[in-house]
Amino acid sequence: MKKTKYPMNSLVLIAALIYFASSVGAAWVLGAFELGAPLRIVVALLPALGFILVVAAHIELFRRSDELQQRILLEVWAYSLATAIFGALALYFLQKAGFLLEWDYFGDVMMPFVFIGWLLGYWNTSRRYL
Amino acid sequence: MKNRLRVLRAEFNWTQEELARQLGVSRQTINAIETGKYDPSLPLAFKVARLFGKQIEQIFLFDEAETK
Repeated sequence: MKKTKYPMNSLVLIAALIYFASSVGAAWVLGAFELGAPLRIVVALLPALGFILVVAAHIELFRRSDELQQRILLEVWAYSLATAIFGALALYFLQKAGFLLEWDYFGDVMMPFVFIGWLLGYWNTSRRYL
Repeated sequence: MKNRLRVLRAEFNWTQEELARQLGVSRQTINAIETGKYDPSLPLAFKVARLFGKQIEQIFLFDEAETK
């Protein structure tokens, strides 16, 4: 296991905060200002850059982890993605039935479910292995 | 899988932290192996065996009943 100057979990947290700030910021800017087409595209894609940072931080965390930590991370991501897909599908069917009409799937539903699934997965796998 | 890691570590008078450092893993991984919550990979098991100067099967005890 390689030693880093800063704990890698901090990098993941910082990347997640950047992603969150870029998502909220981009949504606010797009709603508050009348921007031209090229600038609107740039602002709209800012959260994608934040998300790339999150993925890159996780890959780096995975590379620097030992075999048990890697297993935990993989199980946590499996929980996270499964929760997101299940949650989004459940809300989709509720929407089809006439509920929750204002949900924006990726921004409002997917990412919070990814986060909730990540927390649940981390709690469960840590309890099993640590 | 049962193992004698805790006993051997005590014989060598090493802390979990020291053993983890020598094996290049985290202290939590050593603890998980000692408490039987995690079975190490074959390369890590070989590293453990070489570090203590023993055969793998002298440290990790295969229990056939567990695999059924």
